[in-house]
Amino acid sequence: MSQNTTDSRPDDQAGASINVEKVRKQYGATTVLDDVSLDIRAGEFITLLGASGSGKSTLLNIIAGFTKADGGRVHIGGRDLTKVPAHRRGLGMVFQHYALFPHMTVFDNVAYGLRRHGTAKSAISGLVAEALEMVELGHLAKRKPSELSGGQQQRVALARAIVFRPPVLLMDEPLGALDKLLREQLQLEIRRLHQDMGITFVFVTHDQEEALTMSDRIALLQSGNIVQIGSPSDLYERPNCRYAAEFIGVSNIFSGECRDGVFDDRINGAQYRLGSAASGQALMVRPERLAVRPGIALSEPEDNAVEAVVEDCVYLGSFRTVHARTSGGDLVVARTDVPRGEDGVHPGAKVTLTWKIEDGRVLA
Amino acid sequence: MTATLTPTEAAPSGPTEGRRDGALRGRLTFDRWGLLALPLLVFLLVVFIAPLAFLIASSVTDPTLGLDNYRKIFTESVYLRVLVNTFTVALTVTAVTLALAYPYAYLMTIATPRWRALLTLIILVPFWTSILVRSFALVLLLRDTGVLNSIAMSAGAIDEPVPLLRTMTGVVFGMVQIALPFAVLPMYATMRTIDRRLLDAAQGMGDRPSGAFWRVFVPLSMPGVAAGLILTFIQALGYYITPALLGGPKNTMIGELIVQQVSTVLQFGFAAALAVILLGTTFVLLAITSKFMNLERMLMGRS
Repeated sequence: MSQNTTDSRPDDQAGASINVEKVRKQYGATTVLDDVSLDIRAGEFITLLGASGSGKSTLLNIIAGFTKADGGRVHIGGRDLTKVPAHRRGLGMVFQHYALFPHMTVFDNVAYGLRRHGTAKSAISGLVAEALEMVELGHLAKRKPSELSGGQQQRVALARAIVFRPPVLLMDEPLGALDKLLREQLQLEIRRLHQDMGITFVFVTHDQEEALTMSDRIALLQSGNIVQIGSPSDLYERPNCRYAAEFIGVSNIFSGECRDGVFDDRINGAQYRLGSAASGQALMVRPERLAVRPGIALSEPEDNAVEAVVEDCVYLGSFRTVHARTSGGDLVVARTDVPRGEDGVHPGAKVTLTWKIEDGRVLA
Repeated sequence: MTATLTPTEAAPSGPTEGRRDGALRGRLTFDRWGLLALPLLVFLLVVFIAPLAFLIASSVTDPTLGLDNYRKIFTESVYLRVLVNTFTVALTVTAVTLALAYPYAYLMTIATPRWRALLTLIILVPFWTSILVRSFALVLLLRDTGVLNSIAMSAGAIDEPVPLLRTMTGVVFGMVQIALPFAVLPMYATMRTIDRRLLDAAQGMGDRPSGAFWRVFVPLSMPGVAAGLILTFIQALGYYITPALLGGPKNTMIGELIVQQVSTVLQFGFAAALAVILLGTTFVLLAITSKFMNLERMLMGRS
């Protein structure tokens, strides 16, 4: 993989792998990254997900070379780039607030990287036009960034980052400043860009839905540590801790103890059977795995059940959410189909919430 | 490569921030509280506009009706030399000030808040001190037996005092230190609005840090530089106290000439004509500047 991309485009320019090894960063007494290790495969779309202060942006900036780690190493494409400054790493970067050069036209913004890489003058305008076509902004090449909408500015930022065919594209909350509708469109478009280019994408966001939509894999960070890494369904279906379960999607969590294949929920005075031996103090069930039955119904032999009183029913068109309070005071959310008529589930009604044994997950 | 992204938003033809701002201001209508500005308007009319009108009038009527006063300035070599000298000094002061102020303003933008407060204080303390006091202090510093020459002589760098006082060097020295805050502050105001991520972006695209500085930071700091330059230059044209104290008869500036004409030789019409030239030059410079830059934005420190 050549660092000095010229106008020739090597076909082997697929993505590069990234290996982060025990990277550490402290600001004063605060540990921002606590010996984080992360292996990113060549060509994958990985999302660094976390709340603000989790260290996700710092990790991205260390990969980019903008921030110096206090310890640890970063290999990209097999090369140790720990001590290599950002401008020699040859990576593409998209910033949250676009960071377009306000004094340059869209064309000059996109051509900036090519000029620095020594691309032949004759080739530049073709490559810029091609990159702008990829984001369908070819007709705006002569505009200044201030004359573009937020979404268009972010598209220019994308074109600018990919025009010199970097092996890795880093994105720091690139959609954070856009409204919801636009964000959802750009999510899919960035995803498509990833599939077409085949390079490695590292995407930072605090929005779990965005992470689920876009990623091959998600690394969930919490106060400077990666708490779980896996595919979107891994993180949603099989969270490995309470933090992961609560951060991603909506979760109902019962507190209690595991004993002899049974989860003892003392708060609600109920016992739930477990599919397999486990240990932990919490049992999680996703809202869509819960069934709501009016009255005190006996559960099927293969189901677990807890009684509750409905507090609210929210009709959402294609589905309905039922908020119910258990005798122990837990607020449980269930997501159900919309019934054709009155089904006895309404505020104030006594209901039984049931779920299949394998849909409950014990968390540490 | 066949990837495309579909733009779905409306193409913007919309106004930029600044323009929207302007429209808002235009909508503010006059209410009775606005009348409170009246005293100041009357005051300005009496003490500024009216005297200015008299000044312009007397420049073409005193002692005789016509443009004799102006003709005298541009034909007699004594006066022409004063004009040339004034511009030379003002340009030199501006150039030196720029060279000193730009790095200082840059240092202010990258400093930690504590250091920035200190740097701001250093630039502002002289600003709050009377020009007369500062110029006298410079006399003590620059004269033949002054601090600079004493140190240089005792260090053996020179054998006899280098004349600094009553020279153009002395004048420039004194004027630069007075002009510095006027150059540093607008530059700093512009520089601090420059997003540091732009420099990261440039380096991320393969530019060296120095390249990113020249191609991104410097162009974006230009409005502040222009504001600083124009403030410095216009001020420098009209300086009186400093050149009077630090300069010699060979480098008289227009301000000194005006005072001399009014208080010594009592040629009011001629002094008025000189003042009108000074004023006219200032307006022309401002007009040229505003053609290229948004003056309001420059002086308000927005970018």
